[in-house]
Amino acid sequence: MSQQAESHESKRMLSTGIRVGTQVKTKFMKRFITETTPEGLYKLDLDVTLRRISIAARFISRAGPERTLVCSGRENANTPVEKFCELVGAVPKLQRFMPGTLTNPSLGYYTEPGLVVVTDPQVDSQAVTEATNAGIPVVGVANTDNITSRVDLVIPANNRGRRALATVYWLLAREILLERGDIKEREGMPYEIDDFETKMTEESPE
Amino acid sequence: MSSSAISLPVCSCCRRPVMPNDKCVKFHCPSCGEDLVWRCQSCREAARGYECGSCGFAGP
Repeated sequence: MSQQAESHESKRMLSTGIRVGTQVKTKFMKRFITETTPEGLYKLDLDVTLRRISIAARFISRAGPERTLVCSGRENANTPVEKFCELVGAVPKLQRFMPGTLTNPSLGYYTEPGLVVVTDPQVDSQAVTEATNAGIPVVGVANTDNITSRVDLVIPANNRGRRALATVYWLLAREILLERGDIKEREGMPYEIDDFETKMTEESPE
Repeated sequence: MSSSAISLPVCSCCRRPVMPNDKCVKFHCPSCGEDLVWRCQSCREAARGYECGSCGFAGP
């Protein structure tokens, strides 16, 4: 990619709030934080985020997307995870993670994935615990306030915002498709970031 | 009677042998996929860093 196109993409990523963290900083996420805003919000390093996304894409491609379980207990991540799984062929696990999914073979919903991806290590702690017990590597999207114990590859990014989550999964899907050779260049993505975003539906007053 | 020695895998973070009953994990380096990374239970719990011997990638 040319330098101009790269800077244009960086600007586009910045507008999605992918690097905006919280007012809390943990020792685990200290090395990914670059600056603090006057409001006290910690900001993540965008270059590291993009580099980690491409590394995670390689990791998922090598493990096999069909053997990858993508978990999310967050409502904002439902559409991004569904779209991501539809594009790359991974297995989505939304809402509640049923105990025993990775550890109890007598259950009907038992699966044996090769890799587990979690949207928030705290929200999806059950998935992280079971992956640890089963000896499965864990890739986690972590914000500035996350504890990354038992996570084997951290993607430092905002995991609260709707648009930020859509961007993370869109980038991850694009890198995997590039890695597999399904798309030839970065501009050839079949979906836009907007398509990955969870839409808020307002209830009509009766 | 001959005795045979068992060679245990070594944790990539703390360089200690990984015990068979340990809740450890092994995976190929996420970046290059060449080196096999072992992480023992305590290193995973403490989020201790590991480094790939061939490409120099530092995780987690």
